[in-house]
Amino acid sequence: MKRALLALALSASCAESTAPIAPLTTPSARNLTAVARANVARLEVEVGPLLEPRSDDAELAERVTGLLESVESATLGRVAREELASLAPASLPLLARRLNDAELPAAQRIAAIEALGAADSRYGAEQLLARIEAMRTRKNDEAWVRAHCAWRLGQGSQDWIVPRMIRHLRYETDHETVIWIARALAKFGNYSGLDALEVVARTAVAADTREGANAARFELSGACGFGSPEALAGAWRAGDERVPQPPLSRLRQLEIWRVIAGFSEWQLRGVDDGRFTLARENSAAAALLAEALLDENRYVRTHAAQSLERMGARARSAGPALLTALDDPELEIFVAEALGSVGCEAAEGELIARLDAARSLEVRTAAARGLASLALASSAMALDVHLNDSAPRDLRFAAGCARLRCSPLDAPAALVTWLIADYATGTGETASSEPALRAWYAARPDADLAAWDAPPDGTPSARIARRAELLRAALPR
Amino acid sequence: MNVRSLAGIAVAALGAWALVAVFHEPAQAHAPVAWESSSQCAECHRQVHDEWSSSWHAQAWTDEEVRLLSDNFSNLDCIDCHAPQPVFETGIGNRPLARSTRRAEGVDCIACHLMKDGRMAGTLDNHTVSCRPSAQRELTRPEACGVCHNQHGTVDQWKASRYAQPGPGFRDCVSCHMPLRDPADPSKGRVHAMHGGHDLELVRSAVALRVARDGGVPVVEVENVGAGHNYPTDDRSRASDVFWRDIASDGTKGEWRKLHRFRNPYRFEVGEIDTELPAGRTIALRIADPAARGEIEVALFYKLSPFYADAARADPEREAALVHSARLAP
Repeated sequence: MKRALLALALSASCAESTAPIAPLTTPSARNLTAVARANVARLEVEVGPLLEPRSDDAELAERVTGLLESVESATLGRVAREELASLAPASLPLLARRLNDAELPAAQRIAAIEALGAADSRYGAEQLLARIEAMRTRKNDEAWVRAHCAWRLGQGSQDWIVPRMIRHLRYETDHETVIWIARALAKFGNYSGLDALEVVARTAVAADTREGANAARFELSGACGFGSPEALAGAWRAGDERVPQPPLSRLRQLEIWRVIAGFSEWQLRGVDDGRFTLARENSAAAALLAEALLDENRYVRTHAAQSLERMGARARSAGPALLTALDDPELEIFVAEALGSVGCEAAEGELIARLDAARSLEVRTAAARGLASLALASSAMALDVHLNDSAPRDLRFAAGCARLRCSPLDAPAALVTWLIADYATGTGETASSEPALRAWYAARPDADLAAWDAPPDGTPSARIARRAELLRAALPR
Repeated sequence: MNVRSLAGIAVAALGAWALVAVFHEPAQAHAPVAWESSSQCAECHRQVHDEWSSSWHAQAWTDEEVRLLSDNFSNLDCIDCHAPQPVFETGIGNRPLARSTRRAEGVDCIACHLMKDGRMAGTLDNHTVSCRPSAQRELTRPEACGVCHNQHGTVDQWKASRYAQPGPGFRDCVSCHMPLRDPADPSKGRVHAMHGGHDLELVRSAVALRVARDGGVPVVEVENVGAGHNYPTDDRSRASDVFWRDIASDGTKGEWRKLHRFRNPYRFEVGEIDTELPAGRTIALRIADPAARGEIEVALFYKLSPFYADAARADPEREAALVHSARLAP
């Protein structure tokens, strides 16, 4: 009896403490697999391992030493350099050792760089690239060596260096090396170095460095048939087909897949570098990133979507894959923004549907951001619904920014005033409101866009204050 | 009263309790709430919300320095930790991901407490209130803080310290950074102001400074006596510098001279090495300068931002906070 009563009591108290549990977010029903790892494995088999040529030939070693010692000779120098460039692959490890020997005279190390580059092989290029990348672990590394290596890599045909060169550009501190890296990238149809060239042309202390950067800008744009560096940079960002886009070699695809696979790492440093690199890769990389949207790892999928978003119009071809990925609950907010950024106009309806109150605020806000980047006039009416005071602030703000970009001329004055006031505080979503307010400002007949777009002359808050002044002056009295 | 009577009363009481338990209407579960702002939490948890509002977590998006360094977050990489999705949603131990909304609230109540099922991670279970708290031990574990802070290795540093060892000396993140409001009554909860490097008293409690002479040469010892991680932890921004200056016989003080810097450089600072002081470790620094043979003053300064206006002529008294100082006679 006692036992029965006790059991009864216990069951009653247990029933009381059982709280209803809402269903967990269901994982995507899509067929997710280890896409990135599988591609890395496949390509590693296809291209084979990077092998160091055998270099145990004492006679060859002696010959390399002799030739290097002759490069400074007025009479034998030219012949020695030519002969070094024509040596068998077995000489490459010997030349790499000379390249990294800081005790050797500069002329010998330069000759070693040239011979390694002249081989135009995977192994030789790896030695030059590794020497450039060593800057990240050495204090007071020799900048002139990096500049020479970058220059020589730009003379070869090893396009797989591009992702690693882009990543290195993020860290490079020597202006001359920056110039040669930008040129090398352009050799392979990658113009992501134009921004760095512009900064060097504007800010380098030495006049000849500024001139060198500027010369490179004009040379690169002229070679592509563009009238100015700005025109080429604009065309590159827009994914303009007039910008030559050679196909990606398998080795370069392997490098890209390695970066994508690295998105699953825990440390943000490598992930930040990866997003930076892939956002600046050629348009052809968008196809690989689109494939990665089906990876089984949430972080690989998420950062692939973010990389496509940051790639912008150059990733237009990924639109259909992104549109499919919009149904992935773990990806939805990232994909919504990416769809707008890549300019997938076919996504307008899906994004407008996601403004609905039945969706989470996160999704609704991201959808409004996506519509802002799409900037289609046809979205304006759907956005107007969310501009009233009863809408959650995040949604109202994102919809307001989108409304300005979609149809700036008839944007409600109260909305513009509110967005300017928020922008001027400098503590809100300025990354969203700045392009929206620029669209509104640019639509004014008296807009001074030269003043708006003037190069940065101080802190971000100084820039915001300057632009807020322009905006306030443009408000109707 | 005999045993029989007592047993009868006990059975009757148990029966009455059982009847109440069976027929009593269970307390009604609260309907799920859409959590869209941490200001919703303030309706019931005013004190906690006020503490958090004063914290640097609350300023993760609006702080002037981070706005400057991230160019107003146009560097999108910064958003992952400065406006993260709820850590229980991405998973304790996993890397945080950026969220789309309420970014101005930074690292807020929702970021740390909201669970995938819409309940709030807490220290007790209660489904009758709006936040439907669910007792989650992970909430106070270092791994929860580590989703962001271990990006700089702070939790790994703690794991390598004696404080991570089970036993009476065990202390974790919340022991120091979220102490109990009333140690005698844990039910009063923990302080949510989450003091750290901005609290000079906490910084002072982390390190000890000692000076002595060895054969006339001043030897400065700095010991990490209180931090459960490196001193200072977190790369990029934090730095702590040891300076010294001579003091003339008339009391005139010379210029500060830098002796050592404790800092883990940021990724762009190529070739710089990590000089942070691990938990429990001591570093001894000798001042070989002949000018130090007379009376000297040694001081340890702390900087929230690592750079001096003029690196060659640093003015720590103006540009850094004094942690400890000591004088050493000739």
